[in-house]
Amino acid sequence: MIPHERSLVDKWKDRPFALLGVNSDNTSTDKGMALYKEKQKEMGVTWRSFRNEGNTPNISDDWRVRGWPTLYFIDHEGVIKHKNIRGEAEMEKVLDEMITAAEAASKK
Amino acid sequence: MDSTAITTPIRKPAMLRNALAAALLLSIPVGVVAQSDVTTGSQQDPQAAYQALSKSFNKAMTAWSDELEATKKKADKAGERLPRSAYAPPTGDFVSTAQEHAKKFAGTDAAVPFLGFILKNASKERNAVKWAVKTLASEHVDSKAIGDIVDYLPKVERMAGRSARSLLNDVADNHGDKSVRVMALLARARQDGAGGKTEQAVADLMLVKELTTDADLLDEAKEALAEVQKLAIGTAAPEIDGIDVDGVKFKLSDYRGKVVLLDFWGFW
Repeated sequence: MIPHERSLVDKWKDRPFALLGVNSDNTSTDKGMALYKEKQKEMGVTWRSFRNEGNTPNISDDWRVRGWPTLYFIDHEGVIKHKNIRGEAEMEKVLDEMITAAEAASKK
Repeated sequence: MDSTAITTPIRKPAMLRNALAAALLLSIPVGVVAQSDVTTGSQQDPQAAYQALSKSFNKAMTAWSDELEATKKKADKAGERLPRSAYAPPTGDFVSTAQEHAKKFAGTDAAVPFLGFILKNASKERNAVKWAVKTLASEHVDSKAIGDIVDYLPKVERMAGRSARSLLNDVADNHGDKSVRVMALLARARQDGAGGKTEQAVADLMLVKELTTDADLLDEAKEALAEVQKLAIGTAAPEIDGIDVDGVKFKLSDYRGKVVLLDFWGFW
């Protein structure tokens, strides 16, 4: 999961794409933060994450997340285009299409 | 069973005799009836038996979660992590008891709440869940009582496999009683909505509106529809106004103009 995500971030770093996390490691506690920092370095997490528990209700509750990980594919206009596509090839295909559409829209 | 079970029979021989007679008639193992009948005086009453089961289950779950909380604190202090197994609630005995009751009332509507109890509360008792779904499908699919427990079917899909969904489909599409169909349609729509099958969920909820005039059920359908459409493909993503893991405020809409892959995740 994480290595593939990192590869996406690298691959599209010059295109209109952002990977955003909603992280549930309780980083508001020292213990959660320590774990997060350690693993972040170890696994090479280069992207930004919301603190899931930082909001009331938790962001995952507001978004009705029932299982982890859950993925939402949101386009350049903020519209949900896909949910929970898991296969790496399929993920890249739909994201590439969405990024191309975003680029086309910005050129108009 | 509590200790009164041992002492009371001596003082109430008539009651014990009745229990024995009832057990013979129903060919139930004598020990079960004699003992529990004396304890509660109402073991033949399925409703009372269900309430007793629920009550003891809730009590045990509260005790378990309190204990877990304490163990977790201790482990946290010691810098240890609890094994995954520590988070599994001790549901086994209660599921077995529900299964016994369901067998005792087999073939009658009285068995249905106990089968529902298994679906609702089983945590890892896969075989019991499979059995409960199979029993519901073969003996209770036309019963009105099934309406009260269809809501639990989506929850057990991981344990029961396709049989849970096909039973839900059967009730939602074919049940003779409209209100039972509505319960199943609501359950199916919620499941489909959560799974991203928005169109199917919306179709089921529209059908609910045709089938019932019950205000509560219509409210439920309306709520479920809003829920399904809220995070549906093709709708605007809800704003997230939060803080990042370092405590810095930011918003999802800050990224407008970019494609965002939003990932709910954790290392744990």
